[in-house]
Amino acid sequence: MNEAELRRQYEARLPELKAHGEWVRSVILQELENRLGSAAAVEKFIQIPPKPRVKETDSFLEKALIRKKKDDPLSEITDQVGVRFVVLLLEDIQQIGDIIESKGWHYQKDRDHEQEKLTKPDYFAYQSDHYVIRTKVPVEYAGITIPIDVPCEIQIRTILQHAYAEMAHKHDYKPSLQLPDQDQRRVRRALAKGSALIETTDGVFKEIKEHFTAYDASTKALLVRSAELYQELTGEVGSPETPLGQLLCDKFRSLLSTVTPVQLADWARKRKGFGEMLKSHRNESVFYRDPVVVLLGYLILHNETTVPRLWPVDSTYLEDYYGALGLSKRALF
Amino acid sequence: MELTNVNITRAIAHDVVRASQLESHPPVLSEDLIVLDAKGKALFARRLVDTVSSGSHCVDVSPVDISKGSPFDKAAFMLDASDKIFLRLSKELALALSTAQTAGPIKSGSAIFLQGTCIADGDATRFLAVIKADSDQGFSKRIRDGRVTLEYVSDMVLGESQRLIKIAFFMEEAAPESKPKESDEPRTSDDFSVKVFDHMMQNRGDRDAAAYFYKTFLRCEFANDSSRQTKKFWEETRSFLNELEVDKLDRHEYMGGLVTYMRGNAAVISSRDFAREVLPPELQDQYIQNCKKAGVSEAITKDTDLIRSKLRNRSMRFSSNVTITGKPEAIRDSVRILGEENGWTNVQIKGSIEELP
Repeated sequence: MNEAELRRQYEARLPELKAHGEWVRSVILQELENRLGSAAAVEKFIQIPPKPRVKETDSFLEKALIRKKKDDPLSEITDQVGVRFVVLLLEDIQQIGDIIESKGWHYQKDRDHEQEKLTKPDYFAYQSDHYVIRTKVPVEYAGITIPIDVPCEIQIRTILQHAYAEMAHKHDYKPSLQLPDQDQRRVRRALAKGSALIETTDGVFKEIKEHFTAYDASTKALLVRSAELYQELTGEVGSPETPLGQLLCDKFRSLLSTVTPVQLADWARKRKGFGEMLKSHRNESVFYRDPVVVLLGYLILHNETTVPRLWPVDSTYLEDYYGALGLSKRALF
Repeated sequence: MELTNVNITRAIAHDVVRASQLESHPPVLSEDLIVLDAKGKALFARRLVDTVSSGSHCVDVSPVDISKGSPFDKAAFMLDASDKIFLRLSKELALALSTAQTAGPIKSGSAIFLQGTCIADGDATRFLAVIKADSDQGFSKRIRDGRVTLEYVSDMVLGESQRLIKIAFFMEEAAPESKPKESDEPRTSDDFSVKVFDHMMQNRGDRDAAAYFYKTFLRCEFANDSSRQTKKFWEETRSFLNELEVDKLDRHEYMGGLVTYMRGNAAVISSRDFAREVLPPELQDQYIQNCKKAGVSEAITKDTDLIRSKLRNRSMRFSSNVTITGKPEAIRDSVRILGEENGWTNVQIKGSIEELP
């Protein structure tokens, strides 16, 4: 096929490629929303809004005819249209990978950064997951029919991998940048160092996330137990995750590590008259209708001088609760 | 003592005056029980908790006179009395309080009698509280049509200030087998624990001024195990400080603080006060919890008889058998430990050597 003919055919399919990219993006974002629960959660999850990109005609021709000569470039060149998903953590990459592999289209994983780490353990360079998907049946999207077998490349990376890729792409592969061999080697060495550093930092992010997850889990367990005990003691049902509960857990973070759900239950069940007290105060104010008061009661009776120091809102309710728990507020408020 | 689930079942208030005014201005004695709404009951309960429950400065007293017609006998019987007799006994006690108000800076005010139920340290029980409430002046704030007005109030009682309240709290430890009659023998002091809160008791210098309430009026004495309790408080605190994982210099400072605290003018000592006065915030709750477990968390009438020799001097003994001894205040003010270096402790002592034997 000569250049003019290839150009004509490629330009004719540009609208299909554009529609394909947009369709793939919308399918993945929709599934992500289903899995994460809301559009807002998706917005937090995705670090840079994905924008489908169709390959410039000249760039396509250059690749098809010169750089990577193909017999059937319209089918074999896989990045005619691409969508890139940039996420925060390594585990988020997997999440999008799972979605791609579940969508019933034909897919093929061209680059797998985890796999590359194992096959080239001493090598540090560009890292990203690349998938190429092709539809098995024609798809109608935005008034355009996307025929079968049109490829679309999907890249998935962390925001750090993305920063690295942008940097490397700018300098390493730019043909116009002609450096002496010695300097070229130095640049390559620096890029390798950068890649190693990025991989290390991604690992540290993962560790941080694990700590948060463990913390969130233990806080949540306490709030849930507090709500269960509240129901047990008063017969009234309340949500374990109230704004006041969250606020207090945030403020009393340092104290929460001193109590387990088991200790909380043991304490609350042994405490004579606790349920009656809560019941009799329920009508007085919304404060006593919040199940977090069980947990707060424990924290107060074990940290009577610290709780007022950390108390984040008007202390009227707290003073009242001290009284209800049988603690004099002398010298504390 | 931890007081929760306080529920006021009967209340009455009378006027009290100074003894010298009894004839010229006879106090007004009420003929009716006070009807309280939920908020009024809750406020009474809060005042009781603040003055009598955990962390308060109330102290144990024991009745000296439990004979027929004694204040103890009347207060004890009021729990089971009919409204009519409750009213009469409260009037008699209010008059007795006026009669006791003879000397010192005593104001006229009100005698308030509260009967109720509560849970004390996990046990449901009954109580009778006798409150001497001094009147306060203040303003009542009103917001109307976007304007704030303050209306003068001349005779407010039971406000936040604990300086204006004295309380005798009779708490039933053992319930009677059958409902007592007024003609019965008085109940025994073992049936009740009696606690008194009076801010005048807090300071040794004011003790005599406090006597009219707990002694003349109620005919009680301080509980006689004060010296033992004081010693226990001292020992528990010392062992807490010794086991604390802190810098030696910090420990030295806290120990010094303990001696100064025990030698101070306070007539009532408590774990919460010591924590606040001597320990840094991050250790206060740990110490208070420790005292709770050891059974020395309540306020104690200070009696240092059994630890006098320990408080007289403070010494620092070094591993090389050298000891520095002095009055606690002198050690605190004139000896500085600067740190350790190569097995030597750098100590700075104010003043020059006066005597070398």
